[in-house]
Amino acid sequence: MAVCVAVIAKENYPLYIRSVPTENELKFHYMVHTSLDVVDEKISAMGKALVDQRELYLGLLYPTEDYKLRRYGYVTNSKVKFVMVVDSSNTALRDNEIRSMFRKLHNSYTDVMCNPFYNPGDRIQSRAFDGMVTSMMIQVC
Amino acid sequence: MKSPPDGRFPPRLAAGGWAPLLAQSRGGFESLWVPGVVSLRAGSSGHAGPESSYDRSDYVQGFTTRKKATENGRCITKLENMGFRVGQGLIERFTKDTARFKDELDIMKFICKDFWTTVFKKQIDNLRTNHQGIYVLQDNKFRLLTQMSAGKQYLEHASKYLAFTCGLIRGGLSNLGIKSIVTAEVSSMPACKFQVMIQKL
Repeated sequence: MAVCVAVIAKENYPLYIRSVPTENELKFHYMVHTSLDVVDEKISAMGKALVDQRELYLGLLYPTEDYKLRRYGYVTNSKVKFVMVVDSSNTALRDNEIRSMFRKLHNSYTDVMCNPFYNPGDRIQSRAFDGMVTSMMIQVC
Repeated sequence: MKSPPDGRFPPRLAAGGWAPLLAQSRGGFESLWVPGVVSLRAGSSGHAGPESSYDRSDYVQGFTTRKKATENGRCITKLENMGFRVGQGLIERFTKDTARFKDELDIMKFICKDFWTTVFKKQIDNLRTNHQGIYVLQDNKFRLLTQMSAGKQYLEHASKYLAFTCGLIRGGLSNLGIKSIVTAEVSSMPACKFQVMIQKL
């Protein structure tokens, strides 16, 4: 279950950022911001890396000492980045589940893009998108 | 077709001089948007049906006959801007499942093959480049022009029908991170050439 989901535009500002409202959300904003550097590095190193450079999914961004919170990245062909912070203390989430979550995010983002009343570059305010992200976020009881 | 929640139309359209036109004919604006944009979206599996291209030519004609000949240039600009926005959305949908693009030539080949096939049901016939940022896409049987007689009679009117497609290409490229200028020319119906000039930042 995701703890924080962010959609970052091509110019590296957030189009949509939402986190579980527990402690200070600023911590999650900061985490997403620092992961942007790692995402950029992974894209630019594509030519030399042995990893399949044609894939959109980037995987675990970087290992941290805080083993509970892991950050995953995904970059679309239009250079829009999705960053997800996942709380892995409850269940060990497999790679496939993370990939399917990013797939759903990408599908919803495409629907937002095709909305004629949405200007590319604005903050995403679609209720359908919000609903989809809510279904992915951790249930805080 | 709902109007936007706060009554204002998107700023890009208002800036392009749409505002006076919208103020006087709200109903007219909605009927312009519905055939072109909604029917292209309706092919959510990625296939724009043949009816969408006929709808576009209908509203191109309806749109341009409302204005006088002197405002022809503004019409073409507006059509191109509409194509730009539609191109951005289409590219997002089409590149959802494709692999990451290696370079510019890869992107142009994608436009010529997959993009053109999905929108016009055929590929671009010829792609030429000078490897310095200029690409010429040649389509020998452009679908929007096949319905017109293949002679000299409608040659000067053909550019109106190409404006939307120029915007489509420009919007698609801009969403993939390439700033460009796209122009079109028709020397003999129904063949046409789109010239794409990549602008290096």
